[in-house]
Amino acid sequence: MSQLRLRPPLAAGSLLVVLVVTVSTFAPWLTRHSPEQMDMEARLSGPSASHWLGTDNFGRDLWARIAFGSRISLTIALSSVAAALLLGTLVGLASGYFGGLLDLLLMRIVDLFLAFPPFILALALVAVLGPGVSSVTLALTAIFWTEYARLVRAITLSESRRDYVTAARSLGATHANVLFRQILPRAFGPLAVLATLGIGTAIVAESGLSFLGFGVEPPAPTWGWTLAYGMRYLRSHMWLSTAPGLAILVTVLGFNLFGDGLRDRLDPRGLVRSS
Amino acid sequence: MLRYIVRRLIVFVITLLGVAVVVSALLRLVPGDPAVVFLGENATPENVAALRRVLGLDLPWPVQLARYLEGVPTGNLGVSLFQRAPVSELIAERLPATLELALAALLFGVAFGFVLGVISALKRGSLTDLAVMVFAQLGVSVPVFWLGILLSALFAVHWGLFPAVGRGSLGHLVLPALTLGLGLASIASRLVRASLLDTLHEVYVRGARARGLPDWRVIAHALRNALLPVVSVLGVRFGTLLGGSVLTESVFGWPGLGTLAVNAISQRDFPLVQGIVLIFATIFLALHLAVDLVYGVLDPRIRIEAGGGPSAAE
Repeated sequence: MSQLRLRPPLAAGSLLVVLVVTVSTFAPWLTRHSPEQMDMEARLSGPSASHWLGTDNFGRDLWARIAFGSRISLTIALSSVAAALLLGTLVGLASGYFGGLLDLLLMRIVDLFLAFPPFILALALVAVLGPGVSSVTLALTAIFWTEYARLVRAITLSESRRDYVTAARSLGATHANVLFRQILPRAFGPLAVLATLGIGTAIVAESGLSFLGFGVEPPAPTWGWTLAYGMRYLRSHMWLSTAPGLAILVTVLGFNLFGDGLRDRLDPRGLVRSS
Repeated sequence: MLRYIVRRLIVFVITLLGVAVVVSALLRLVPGDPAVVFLGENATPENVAALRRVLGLDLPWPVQLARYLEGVPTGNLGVSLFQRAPVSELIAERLPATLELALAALLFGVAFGFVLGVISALKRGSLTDLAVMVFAQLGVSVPVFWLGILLSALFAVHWGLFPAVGRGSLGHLVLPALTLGLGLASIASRLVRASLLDTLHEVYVRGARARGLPDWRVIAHALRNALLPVVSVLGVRFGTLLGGSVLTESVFGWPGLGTLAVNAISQRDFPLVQGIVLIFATIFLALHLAVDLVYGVLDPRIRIEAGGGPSAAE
Protein backbone atom coordinates (compact mmCIF):
# COMPACT_ATOMS: atom_id res chain seq x y z
CA MET A 1 0.00 0.00 0.00
CA SER A 2 1.18 3.47 -0.75
CA GLN A 3 2.82 5.60 1.90
CA LEU A 4 0.19 8.23 1.32
CA ARG A 5 -2.59 5.96 2.54
CA LEU A 6 -0.72 4.81 5.61
CA ARG A 7 -0.01 8.06 7.39
CA PRO A 8 -3.37 9.82 7.60
CA PRO A 9 -5.27 6.92 9.27
CA LEU A 10 -3.00 6.88 12.31
CA ALA A 11 -3.15 10.67 12.64
CA ALA A 12 -6.93 10.85 12.16
CA GLY A 13 -7.45 7.90 14.49
CA SER A 14 -5.31 9.43 17.25
CA LEU A 15 -7.17 12.71 16.90
CA LEU A 16 -10.60 11.08 17.25
CA VAL A 17 -9.51 8.91 20.17
CA VAL A 18 -8.05 11.92 22.00
CA LEU A 19 -11.29 13.83 21.35
CA VAL A 20 -13.50 11.07 22.79
CA VAL A 21 -11.26 10.45 25.79
CA THR A 22 -11.16 14.20 26.51
CA VAL A 23 -14.96 14.52 26.38
CA SER A 24 -15.30 11.48 28.61
CA THR A 25 -12.74 12.66 31.16
CA PHE A 26 -13.97 16.24 31.39
CA ALA A 27 -17.70 15.53 30.91
CA PRO A 28 -18.79 17.34 34.11
CA TRP A 29 -16.95 20.50 33.01
CA LEU A 30 -18.08 20.30 29.38
CA THR A 31 -21.78 20.08 30.15
CA ARG A 32 -24.18 22.48 31.87
CA HIS A 33 -26.77 19.89 32.87
CA SER A 34 -26.82 16.50 34.52
CA PRO A 35 -27.56 13.70 32.00
CA GLU A 36 -30.50 12.49 34.11
CA GLN A 37 -31.97 15.85 35.09
CA MET A 38 -35.48 16.19 33.60
CA ASP A 39 -37.06 19.46 32.56
CA MET A 40 -40.59 18.89 31.27
CA GLU A 41 -40.90 22.55 30.24
CA ALA A 42 -38.07 22.12 27.76
CA ARG A 43 -38.95 18.67 26.40
CA LEU A 44 -38.08 17.95 22.77
CA SER A 45 -36.58 21.41 22.30
CA GLY A 46 -34.13 22.09 19.51
CA PRO A 47 -30.49 23.12 19.89
CA SER A 48 -30.06 26.35 21.86
CA ALA A 49 -27.46 28.18 23.95
CA SER A 50 -28.64 26.30 27.03
CA HIS A 51 -29.01 22.89 25.35
CA TRP A 52 -26.38 22.59 22.60
CA LEU A 53 -27.95 19.50 21.04
CA GLY A 54 -31.50 20.07 22.29
CA THR A 55 -33.41 17.84 24.70
CA ASP A 56 -35.21 14.49 24.65
CA ASN A 57 -38.85 13.79 25.52
CA PHE A 58 -38.10 14.12 29.25
CA GLY A 59 -36.34 17.41 28.68
CA ARG A 60 -32.96 15.85 29.40
CA ASP A 61 -29.98 17.54 27.78
CA LEU A 62 -28.86 15.42 24.81
CA TRP A 63 -25.26 16.69 24.85
CA ALA A 64 -24.91 15.79 28.55
CA ARG A 65 -26.30 12.32 27.84
CA ILE A 66 -23.83 11.80 25.02
CA ALA A 67 -20.85 13.19 26.96
CA PHE A 68 -21.60 11.13 30.08
CA GLY A 69 -22.62 8.14 27.93
CA SER A 70 -19.06 8.02 26.60
CA ARG A 71 -17.94 7.14 30.13
CA ILE A 72 -20.13 4.03 30.20
CA SER A 73 -19.08 2.91 26.73
CA LEU A 74 -15.37 3.49 27.31
CA THR A 75 -15.38 1.91 30.77
CA ILE A 76 -17.06 -1.26 29.54
CA ALA A 77 -15.00 -1.44 26.34
CA LEU A 78 -11.66 -0.88 28.10
CA SER A 79 -12.34 -3.27 30.96
CA SER A 80 -13.67 -6.07 28.76
CA VAL A 81 -10.73 -5.75 26.36
CA ALA A 82 -8.27 -5.66 29.28
CA ALA A 83 -9.84 -8.76 30.86
CA ALA A 84 -9.89 -10.59 27.52
CA LEU A 85 -6.28 -9.58 26.87
CA LEU A 86 -5.15 -10.90 30.25
CA LEU A 87 -7.08 -14.18 30.06
CA GLY A 88 -6.26 -14.78 26.40
CA THR A 89 -2.55 -14.04 26.89
CA LEU A 90 -2.24 -16.44 29.83
CA VAL A 91 -4.11 -19.21 27.99
CA GLY A 92 -2.13 -18.62 24.78
CA LEU A 93 1.23 -18.66 26.55
CA ALA A 94 0.43 -21.83 28.50
CA SER A 95 -1.06 -23.55 25.47
CA GLY A 96 1.75 -22.71 23.07
CA TYR A 97 4.62 -23.27 25.49
CA PHE A 98 3.64 -26.43 27.33
CA GLY A 99 1.75 -28.03 24.42
CA GLY A 100 0.48 -31.59 24.75
CA LEU A 101 -2.72 -32.35 26.58
CA LEU A 102 -2.98 -28.87 28.11
CA ASP A 103 -2.79 -27.29 24.64
CA LEU A 104 -5.37 -29.74 23.30
CA LEU A 105 -7.76 -29.04 26.15
CA LEU A 106 -7.40 -25.24 26.09
CA MET A 107 -7.75 -25.05 22.32
CA ARG A 108 -10.93 -27.16 22.38
CA ILE A 109 -12.36 -24.68 24.89
CA VAL A 110 -11.38 -21.86 22.52
CA ASP A 111 -13.08 -23.72 19.63
CA LEU A 112 -16.23 -24.07 21.71
CA PHE A 113 -16.39 -20.33 22.32
CA LEU A 114 -15.76 -19.70 18.62
CA ALA A 115 -18.66 -21.98 17.70
CA PHE A 116 -21.12 -19.24 18.66
CA PRO A 117 -21.69 -16.13 16.56
CA PRO A 118 -20.05 -13.51 18.85
CA PHE A 119 -22.99 -11.16 19.42
CA ILE A 120 -25.34 -14.11 19.97
CA LEU A 121 -23.04 -15.45 22.69
CA ALA A 122 -22.97 -12.03 24.37
CA LEU A 123 -26.78 -11.85 24.15
CA ALA A 124 -27.14 -15.33 25.65
CA LEU A 125 -24.87 -14.42 28.55
CA VAL A 126 -26.62 -11.13 29.24
CA ALA A 127 -29.95 -12.99 28.98
CA VAL A 128 -29.02 -15.29 31.84
CA LEU A 129 -26.85 -12.90 33.89
CA GLY A 130 -29.28 -9.98 33.67
CA PRO A 131 -28.45 -6.40 32.62
CA GLY A 132 -25.75 -4.21 34.23
CA VAL A 133 -22.16 -3.06 33.79
CA SER A 134 -20.59 -6.25 35.15
CA SER A 135 -22.77 -8.62 33.08
CA VAL A 136 -22.06 -6.71 29.88
CA THR A 137 -18.32 -6.60 30.65
CA LEU A 138 -18.29 -10.32 31.35
CA ALA A 139 -20.28 -11.10 28.20
CA LEU A 140 -17.91 -9.06 26.04
CA THR A 141 -14.85 -10.62 27.69
CA ALA A 142 -16.29 -14.03 26.81
CA ILE A 143 -16.50 -13.17 23.12
CA PHE A 144 -13.09 -11.48 22.86
CA TRP A 145 -10.60 -13.57 24.85
CA THR A 146 -10.30 -16.33 22.22
CA GLU A 147 -8.70 -13.97 19.67
CA TYR A 148 -5.89 -13.08 22.07
CA ALA A 149 -5.44 -16.72 23.11
CA ARG A 150 -5.03 -17.83 19.49
CA LEU A 151 -2.70 -14.99 18.60
CA VAL A 152 -0.43 -15.47 21.63
CA ARG A 153 -0.44 -19.25 21.19
CA ALA A 154 0.70 -18.91 17.56
CA ILE A 155 3.51 -16.50 18.53
CA THR A 156 4.55 -18.65 21.50
CA LEU A 157 4.64 -21.78 19.33
CA SER A 158 7.01 -20.25 16.80
CA GLU A 159 9.15 -18.38 19.32
CA SER A 160 9.65 -21.29 21.74
CA ARG A 161 11.45 -23.22 18.97
CA ARG A 162 13.99 -20.44 18.47
CA ASP A 163 17.58 -20.76 19.62
CA TYR A 164 17.43 -17.92 22.12
CA VAL A 165 14.74 -19.75 24.08
CA THR A 166 16.73 -22.97 24.11
CA ALA A 167 19.78 -20.98 25.19
CA ALA A 168 17.90 -19.26 28.01
CA ARG A 169 16.52 -22.59 29.20
CA SER A 170 19.94 -24.27 29.18
CA LEU A 171 21.34 -21.34 31.15
CA GLY A 172 18.85 -22.19 33.86
CA ALA A 173 16.05 -19.69 33.16
CA THR A 174 12.73 -20.70 34.69
CA HIS A 175 9.61 -21.32 32.58
CA ALA A 176 8.09 -18.12 33.96
CA ASN A 177 11.18 -16.17 33.02
CA VAL A 178 11.21 -17.53 29.47
CA LEU A 179 7.46 -16.98 29.03
CA PHE A 180 7.13 -13.49 30.42
CA ARG A 181 10.59 -12.05 29.78
CA GLN A 182 11.59 -13.65 26.48
CA ILE A 183 8.46 -14.69 24.59
CA LEU A 184 5.72 -12.32 25.72
CA PRO A 185 7.49 -9.11 24.61
CA ARG A 186 7.47 -10.47 21.03
CA ALA A 187 3.66 -10.47 21.15
CA PHE A 188 3.31 -6.87 22.36
CA GLY A 189 2.99 -5.31 18.89
CA PRO A 190 0.30 -7.61 17.46
CA LEU A 191 -1.52 -7.56 20.82
CA ALA A 192 -1.61 -3.77 20.84
CA VAL A 193 -3.13 -3.74 17.34
CA LEU A 194 -5.72 -6.38 18.22
CA ALA A 195 -6.65 -4.63 21.47
CA THR A 196 -7.09 -1.23 19.79
CA LEU A 197 -9.37 -2.72 17.12
CA GLY A 198 -11.07 -4.69 19.91
CA ILE A 199 -12.06 -1.50 21.73
CA GLY A 200 -13.98 -0.36 18.65
CA THR A 201 -15.72 -3.72 18.36
CA ALA A 202 -16.53 -3.67 22.08
CA ILE A 203 -18.14 -0.24 21.81
CA VAL A 204 -20.34 -1.40 18.91
CA ALA A 205 -21.32 -4.54 20.83
CA GLU A 206 -22.02 -2.67 24.06
CA SER A 207 -24.17 -0.07 22.34
CA GLY A 208 -25.93 -2.88 20.44
CA LEU A 209 -26.80 -4.58 23.72
CA SER A 210 -28.07 -1.36 25.27
CA PHE A 211 -29.95 -0.53 22.04
CA LEU A 212 -31.92 -3.77 22.55
CA GLY A 213 -32.44 -2.86 26.20
CA PHE A 214 -30.07 -5.50 27.64
CA GLY A 215 -27.09 -3.32 28.47
CA VAL A 216 -26.65 -0.99 31.41
CA GLU A 217 -30.15 -0.16 32.59
CA PRO A 218 -31.87 3.21 32.09
CA PRO A 219 -31.79 5.96 33.23
CA ALA A 220 -28.03 5.51 32.69
CA PRO A 221 -27.24 7.56 29.55
CA THR A 222 -25.90 4.72 27.39
CA TRP A 223 -25.47 5.64 23.74
CA GLY A 224 -27.40 2.58 22.60
CA TRP A 225 -30.46 3.27 24.72
CA THR A 226 -30.48 7.01 23.99
CA LEU A 227 -30.45 6.06 20.31
CA ALA A 228 -33.18 3.43 20.68
CA TYR A 229 -35.34 5.91 22.54
CA GLY A 230 -34.73 8.59 19.94
CA MET A 231 -36.01 6.18 17.30
CA ARG A 232 -39.54 6.74 18.63
CA TYR A 233 -39.32 10.34 17.44
CA LEU A 234 -37.81 9.52 14.07
CA ARG A 235 -40.49 11.44 12.12
CA SER A 236 -40.42 14.64 14.11
CA HIS A 237 -37.01 14.73 15.85
CA MET A 238 -34.56 12.70 13.80
CA TRP A 239 -31.65 14.34 15.61
CA LEU A 240 -32.44 12.40 18.81
CA SER A 241 -31.26 9.17 17.24
CA THR A 242 -28.75 10.72 14.84
CA ALA A 243 -26.57 12.38 17.50
CA PRO A 244 -25.85 9.32 19.68
CA GLY A 245 -25.27 7.28 16.52
CA LEU A 246 -22.69 9.81 15.35
CA ALA A 247 -20.99 9.59 18.75
CA ILE A 248 -20.68 5.80 18.37
CA LEU A 249 -19.46 6.12 14.78
CA VAL A 250 -16.81 8.73 15.62
CA THR A 251 -15.51 6.68 18.56
CA VAL A 252 -15.41 3.38 16.71
CA LEU A 253 -13.91 5.00 13.62
CA GLY A 254 -11.20 6.55 15.83
CA PHE A 255 -10.16 3.24 17.39
CA ASN A 256 -10.37 1.39 14.06
CA LEU A 257 -8.25 3.96 12.22
CA PHE A 258 -5.78 4.03 15.09
CA GLY A 259 -5.59 0.22 15.13
CA ASP A 260 -5.16 0.00 11.35
CA GLY A 261 -2.51 2.70 11.40
CA LEU A 262 -0.68 0.99 14.24
CA ARG A 263 -0.72 -2.29 12.35
CA ASP A 264 0.69 -0.74 9.21
CA ARG A 265 3.42 0.90 11.29
CA LEU A 266 4.38 -2.28 13.13
CA ASP A 267 3.97 -4.73 10.29
CA PRO A 268 3.90 -3.22 6.81
CA ARG A 269 3.16 -6.63 5.28
CA GLY A 270 -0.18 -6.55 7.07
CA LEU A 271 -1.37 -8.84 9.78
CA VAL A 272 -4.59 -10.65 8.86
CA ARG A 273 -7.38 -8.82 10.58
CA SER A 274 -9.01 -11.37 12.80
CA SER A 275 -12.29 -10.12 14.13
CA MET B 1 -10.67 -35.99 -0.27
CA LEU B 2 -13.12 -38.39 1.36
CA ARG B 3 -10.94 -38.63 4.47
CA TYR B 4 -10.86 -34.86 4.68
CA ILE B 5 -14.66 -34.61 4.44
CA VAL B 6 -15.19 -37.33 7.05
CA ARG B 7 -12.74 -35.66 9.42
CA ARG B 8 -14.45 -32.28 9.05
CA LEU B 9 -17.83 -33.91 9.65
CA ILE B 10 -16.62 -35.59 12.85
CA VAL B 11 -15.23 -32.29 14.16
CA PHE B 12 -18.56 -30.65 13.25
CA VAL B 13 -20.60 -33.20 15.23
CA ILE B 14 -18.31 -33.05 18.27
CA THR B 15 -18.35 -29.24 18.32
CA LEU B 16 -22.14 -29.27 18.00
CA LEU B 17 -22.33 -31.61 20.97
CA GLY B 18 -20.14 -29.23 22.96
CA VAL B 19 -22.37 -26.33 21.96
CA ALA B 20 -25.45 -28.21 23.20
CA VAL B 21 -23.71 -28.86 26.53
CA VAL B 22 -22.88 -25.15 26.89
CA VAL B 23 -26.42 -24.11 25.94
CA SER B 24 -27.97 -26.47 28.47
CA ALA B 25 -25.57 -25.15 31.11
CA LEU B 26 -26.73 -21.56 30.48
CA LEU B 27 -29.64 -22.07 32.86
CA ARG B 28 -27.16 -22.76 35.65
CA LEU B 29 -25.58 -19.35 35.16
CA VAL B 30 -28.76 -17.49 36.10
CA PRO B 31 -28.07 -15.74 39.41
CA GLY B 32 -30.57 -17.20 41.88
CA ASP B 33 -33.40 -19.54 40.91
CA PRO B 34 -34.45 -19.26 37.23
CA ALA B 35 -38.00 -20.22 38.24
CA VAL B 36 -38.18 -17.30 40.67
CA VAL B 37 -36.57 -14.99 38.11
CA PHE B 38 -39.32 -15.88 35.61
CA LEU B 39 -42.28 -15.89 38.00
CA GLY B 40 -41.21 -12.92 40.12
CA GLU B 41 -40.60 -12.62 43.84
CA ASN B 42 -44.30 -12.91 44.73
CA ALA B 43 -44.82 -16.36 43.20
CA THR B 44 -46.23 -19.11 45.42
CA PRO B 45 -43.84 -21.92 46.42
CA GLU B 46 -46.12 -24.41 44.59
CA ASN B 47 -45.81 -22.49 41.33
CA VAL B 48 -42.05 -22.19 41.74
CA ALA B 49 -41.76 -25.93 42.41
CA ALA B 50 -43.92 -26.72 39.36
CA LEU B 51 -41.82 -24.51 37.09
CA ARG B 52 -38.63 -26.02 38.47
CA ARG B 53 -39.97 -29.41 37.38
CA VAL B 54 -40.78 -28.09 33.89
CA LEU B 55 -37.28 -26.65 33.56
CA GLY B 56 -35.74 -29.84 34.92
CA LEU B 57 -34.11 -27.92 37.76
CA ASP B 58 -35.31 -30.50 40.30
CA LEU B 59 -32.97 -33.03 38.69
CA PRO B 60 -29.21 -33.30 39.23
CA TRP B 61 -27.21 -31.46 36.53
CA PRO B 62 -25.94 -34.58 34.65
CA VAL B 63 -29.49 -35.94 34.34
CA GLN B 64 -30.76 -32.56 33.16
CA LEU B 65 -27.97 -32.43 30.59
CA ALA B 66 -28.65 -35.98 29.38
CA ARG B 67 -32.31 -35.10 28.90
CA TYR B 68 -31.47 -31.99 26.91
CA LEU B 69 -28.99 -33.83 24.68
CA GLU B 70 -31.53 -36.60 24.13
CA GLY B 71 -34.07 -34.07 22.93
CA VAL B 72 -31.80 -32.11 20.56
CA PRO B 73 -31.50 -34.66 17.68
CA THR B 74 -35.29 -35.18 17.64
CA GLY B 75 -35.94 -31.45 17.71
CA ASN B 76 -37.32 -31.49 21.25
CA LEU B 77 -35.91 -28.28 22.72
CA GLY B 78 -38.45 -27.88 25.50
CA VAL B 79 -41.48 -25.64 25.80
CA SER B 80 -41.56 -21.84 25.76
CA LEU B 81 -42.53 -20.60 29.21
CA PHE B 82 -44.28 -17.54 27.90
CA GLN B 83 -45.91 -18.74 24.70
CA ARG B 84 -46.55 -22.28 25.98
CA ALA B 85 -45.64 -23.77 22.62
CA PRO B 86 -42.79 -26.13 21.70
CA VAL B 87 -39.55 -24.14 21.22
CA SER B 88 -38.79 -26.01 17.98
CA GLU B 89 -42.14 -24.93 16.47
CA LEU B 90 -41.58 -21.29 17.36
CA ILE B 91 -38.11 -21.43 15.85
CA ALA B 92 -39.30 -23.21 12.69
CA GLU B 93 -41.87 -20.45 12.17
CA ARG B 94 -39.26 -17.69 12.32
CA LEU B 95 -36.20 -19.35 10.80
CA PRO B 96 -37.12 -18.80 7.10
CA ALA B 97 -37.37 -15.02 7.62
CA THR B 98 -33.92 -14.85 9.21
CA LEU B 99 -32.35 -17.04 6.54
CA GLU B 100 -33.97 -14.93 3.82
CA LEU B 101 -32.55 -11.74 5.32
CA ALA B 102 -29.10 -13.23 5.97
CA LEU B 103 -28.87 -14.66 2.46
CA ALA B 104 -29.99 -11.41 0.81
CA ALA B 105 -27.47 -9.46 2.91
CA LEU B 106 -24.73 -11.95 2.06
CA LEU B 107 -25.43 -11.74 -1.67
CA PHE B 108 -25.55 -7.95 -1.64
CA GLY B 109 -22.47 -7.67 0.59
CA VAL B 110 -20.32 -10.03 -1.47
CA ALA B 111 -21.44 -8.71 -4.86
CA PHE B 112 -21.12 -5.04 -3.96
CA GLY B 113 -17.87 -5.53 -2.06
CA PHE B 114 -16.44 -7.56 -4.92
CA VAL B 115 -17.17 -4.88 -7.51
CA LEU B 116 -15.78 -2.13 -5.27
CA GLY B 117 -12.66 -4.18 -4.47
CA VAL B 118 -11.87 -4.89 -8.11
CA ILE B 119 -12.39 -1.26 -9.15
CA SER B 120 -10.28 -0.08 -6.24
CA ALA B 121 -7.42 -2.46 -7.02
CA LEU B 122 -7.39 -1.61 -10.72
CA LYS B 123 -7.46 2.13 -10.02
CA ARG B 124 -4.97 1.89 -7.21
CA GLY B 125 -3.83 5.24 -5.83
CA SER B 126 -6.59 7.17 -7.63
CA LEU B 127 -9.39 9.21 -6.10
CA THR B 128 -11.79 6.35 -6.78
CA ASP B 129 -9.55 4.04 -4.76
CA LEU B 130 -9.47 6.53 -1.92
CA ALA B 131 -13.25 6.92 -2.00
CA VAL B 132 -13.75 3.15 -1.86
CA MET B 133 -11.33 2.84 1.05
CA VAL B 134 -13.03 5.65 2.99
CA PHE B 135 -16.37 3.99 2.33
CA ALA B 136 -14.96 0.66 3.57
CA GLN B 137 -13.58 2.25 6.74
CA LEU B 138 -16.93 3.89 7.47
CA GLY B 139 -18.76 0.67 6.63
CA VAL B 140 -16.88 -1.40 9.21
CA SER B 141 -17.23 1.29 11.88
CA VAL B 142 -20.90 2.22 11.57
CA PRO B 143 -23.18 0.45 14.06
CA VAL B 144 -25.64 -1.67 12.08
CA PHE B 145 -28.69 -0.53 14.08
CA TRP B 146 -27.91 3.13 13.48
CA LEU B 147 -27.38 2.57 9.77
CA GLY B 148 -30.77 0.84 9.72
CA ILE B 149 -32.43 3.80 11.41
CA LEU B 150 -30.82 6.27 9.00
CA LEU B 151 -31.83 4.27 5.93
CA SER B 152 -35.32 3.86 7.33
CA ALA B 153 -35.60 7.59 8.11
CA LEU B 154 -34.50 8.56 4.60
CA PHE B 155 -35.89 5.89 2.28
CA ALA B 156 -39.00 4.86 4.19
CA VAL B 157 -40.14 7.78 6.34
CA HIS B 158 -38.92 10.74 4.26
CA TRP B 159 -39.09 9.57 0.65
CA GLY B 160 -41.50 6.67 1.16
CA LEU B 161 -39.66 4.48 -1.36
CA PHE B 162 -39.71 1.29 0.71
CA PRO B 163 -41.79 0.00 3.64
CA ALA B 164 -40.25 0.81 7.04
CA VAL B 165 -41.29 -2.37 8.85
CA GLY B 166 -42.50 -5.90 8.23
CA ARG B 167 -41.89 -8.68 5.74
CA GLY B 168 -43.68 -9.88 2.64
CA SER B 169 -42.75 -8.23 -0.62
CA LEU B 170 -39.33 -7.78 -2.18
CA GLY B 171 -39.58 -4.10 -1.22
CA HIS B 172 -39.66 -5.06 2.45
CA LEU B 173 -36.36 -6.89 2.03
CA VAL B 174 -34.38 -4.03 0.44
CA LEU B 175 -33.60 -1.81 3.44
CA PRO B 176 -32.89 -4.60 5.97
CA ALA B 177 -30.65 -6.42 3.48
CA LEU B 178 -28.73 -3.21 2.64
CA THR B 179 -28.33 -2.46 6.34
CA LEU B 180 -27.06 -5.89 7.24
CA GLY B 181 -24.95 -6.36 4.11
CA LEU B 182 -23.08 -3.07 4.09
CA GLY B 183 -20.56 -4.09 6.75
CA LEU B 184 -19.83 -7.25 4.82
CA ALA B 185 -19.47 -5.27 1.58
CA SER B 186 -16.87 -3.06 3.26
CA ILE B 187 -14.85 -6.00 4.48
CA ALA B 188 -15.19 -7.82 1.17
CA SER B 189 -14.02 -4.76 -0.78
CA ARG B 190 -10.89 -4.45 1.36
CA LEU B 191 -10.13 -8.16 1.11
CA VAL B 192 -10.68 -8.36 -2.64
CA ARG B 193 -8.57 -5.25 -3.18
CA ALA B 194 -5.67 -6.47 -1.01
CA SER B 195 -5.81 -9.98 -2.40
CA LEU B 196 -6.02 -8.82 -6.01
CA LEU B 197 -3.11 -6.40 -5.54
CA ASP B 198 -1.02 -9.25 -4.13
CA THR B 199 -1.98 -11.59 -6.94
CA LEU B 200 -1.36 -9.05 -9.72
CA HIS B 201 2.33 -9.13 -8.78
CA GLU B 202 2.63 -12.89 -9.01
CA VAL B 203 4.88 -14.34 -11.69
CA TYR B 204 2.09 -16.10 -13.57
CA VAL B 205 0.10 -12.87 -13.89
CA ARG B 206 3.10 -11.01 -15.23
CA GLY B 207 3.63 -14.00 -17.51
CA ALA B 208 0.09 -13.71 -18.80
CA ARG B 209 0.60 -10.00 -19.42
CA ALA B 210 3.90 -10.65 -21.19
CA ARG B 211 2.16 -13.16 -23.45
CA GLY B 212 -0.06 -10.31 -24.55
CA LEU B 213 -3.35 -11.54 -23.05
CA PRO B 214 -6.02 -8.84 -22.93
CA ASP B 215 -6.47 -7.04 -19.61
CA TRP B 216 -9.78 -8.63 -18.69
CA ARG B 217 -8.34 -12.11 -19.17
CA VAL B 218 -5.37 -11.29 -16.98
CA ILE B 219 -7.71 -10.01 -14.28
CA ALA B 220 -9.98 -13.02 -14.55
CA HIS B 221 -6.86 -15.14 -14.20
CA ALA B 222 -5.72 -13.28 -11.09
CA LEU B 223 -9.18 -13.13 -9.53
CA ARG B 224 -9.55 -16.88 -9.25
CA ASN B 225 -6.62 -17.10 -6.88
CA ALA B 226 -7.35 -13.79 -5.20
CA LEU B 227 -10.74 -15.14 -4.14
CA LEU B 228 -9.39 -18.01 -2.02
CA PRO B 229 -8.54 -16.00 1.11
CA VAL B 230 -11.69 -13.92 0.60
CA VAL B 231 -13.95 -16.98 0.80
CA SER B 232 -12.49 -18.17 4.08
CA VAL B 233 -12.56 -14.81 5.83
CA LEU B 234 -16.11 -14.15 4.69
CA GLY B 235 -17.14 -17.51 6.14
CA VAL B 236 -15.87 -16.37 9.52
CA ARG B 237 -17.59 -13.00 9.12
CA PHE B 238 -20.92 -14.75 8.68
CA GLY B 239 -21.03 -14.97 12.48
CA THR B 240 -21.05 -11.18 12.67
CA LEU B 241 -23.80 -11.16 10.06
CA LEU B 242 -25.95 -13.46 12.20
CA GLY B 243 -25.35 -11.27 15.25
CA GLY B 244 -26.16 -8.18 13.21
CA SER B 245 -29.39 -9.80 12.04
CA VAL B 246 -30.76 -9.57 15.59
CA LEU B 247 -30.22 -5.80 15.59
CA THR B 248 -31.39 -5.31 12.00
CA GLU B 249 -34.56 -7.31 12.65
CA SER B 250 -35.28 -5.15 15.70
CA VAL B 251 -34.97 -1.92 13.69
CA PHE B 252 -37.18 -3.12 10.83
CA GLY B 253 -39.63 -5.25 12.83
CA TRP B 254 -38.54 -8.22 10.73
CA PRO B 255 -40.34 -11.32 12.03
CA GLY B 256 -37.29 -13.56 12.32
CA LEU B 257 -35.29 -15.34 14.99
CA GLY B 258 -33.69 -12.08 16.11
CA THR B 259 -36.91 -10.39 17.18
CA LEU B 260 -38.00 -13.71 18.72
CA ALA B 261 -34.75 -13.76 20.71
CA VAL B 262 -35.18 -10.17 21.90
CA ASN B 263 -38.70 -10.95 23.14
CA ALA B 264 -37.58 -14.20 24.76
CA ILE B 265 -34.78 -12.41 26.64
CA SER B 266 -37.10 -9.60 27.79
CA GLN B 267 -39.61 -12.16 29.05
CA ARG B 268 -36.85 -14.28 30.61
CA ASP B 269 -38.17 -17.22 28.61
CA PHE B 270 -35.07 -19.35 29.20
CA PRO B 271 -35.94 -22.50 27.16
CA LEU B 272 -36.69 -20.32 24.12
CA VAL B 273 -33.44 -18.37 24.55
CA GLN B 274 -31.52 -21.65 24.76
CA GLY B 275 -33.20 -23.00 21.62
CA ILE B 276 -32.49 -19.87 19.59
CA VAL B 277 -28.83 -19.76 20.67
CA LEU B 278 -28.47 -23.43 19.72
CA ILE B 279 -29.95 -22.81 16.26
CA PHE B 280 -27.75 -19.76 15.61
CA ALA B 281 -24.64 -21.73 16.60
CA THR B 282 -25.71 -24.67 14.41
CA ILE B 283 -26.17 -22.44 11.35
CA PHE B 284 -22.81 -20.80 12.04
CA LEU B 285 -21.00 -24.14 12.40
CA ALA B 286 -22.69 -25.56 9.30
CA LEU B 287 -21.49 -22.58 7.31
CA HIS B 288 -17.97 -23.03 8.66
CA LEU B 289 -18.12 -26.64 7.55
CA ALA B 290 -19.29 -25.60 4.09
CA VAL B 291 -16.50 -23.03 3.77
CA ASP B 292 -13.91 -25.57 4.90
CA LEU B 293 -15.14 -28.09 2.35
CA VAL B 294 -15.27 -25.57 -0.50
CA TYR B 295 -11.80 -24.42 0.47
CA GLY B 296 -10.60 -28.00 0.49
CA VAL B 297 -11.90 -28.44 -3.06
CA LEU B 298 -10.34 -25.19 -4.28
CA ASP B 299 -6.95 -25.62 -2.66
CA PRO B 300 -5.58 -29.17 -2.34
CA ARG B 301 -2.90 -28.07 0.13
CA ILE B 302 -5.56 -27.48 2.78
CA ARG B 303 -6.78 -31.07 2.57
CA ILE B 304 -3.33 -32.39 3.35
CA GLU B 305 -2.45 -29.97 6.11
CA ALA B 306 -5.85 -29.54 7.78
CA GLY B 307 -6.37 -30.98 11.17
CA GLY B 308 -7.71 -28.32 13.51
CA GLY B 309 -11.08 -26.65 13.93
CA PRO B 310 -12.69 -23.91 11.90
CA SER B 311 -9.40 -22.03 12.23
CA ALA B 312 -7.71 -24.36 9.78
CA ALA B 313 -8.98 -22.48 6.76
CA GLU B 314 -8.19 -19.00 7.99
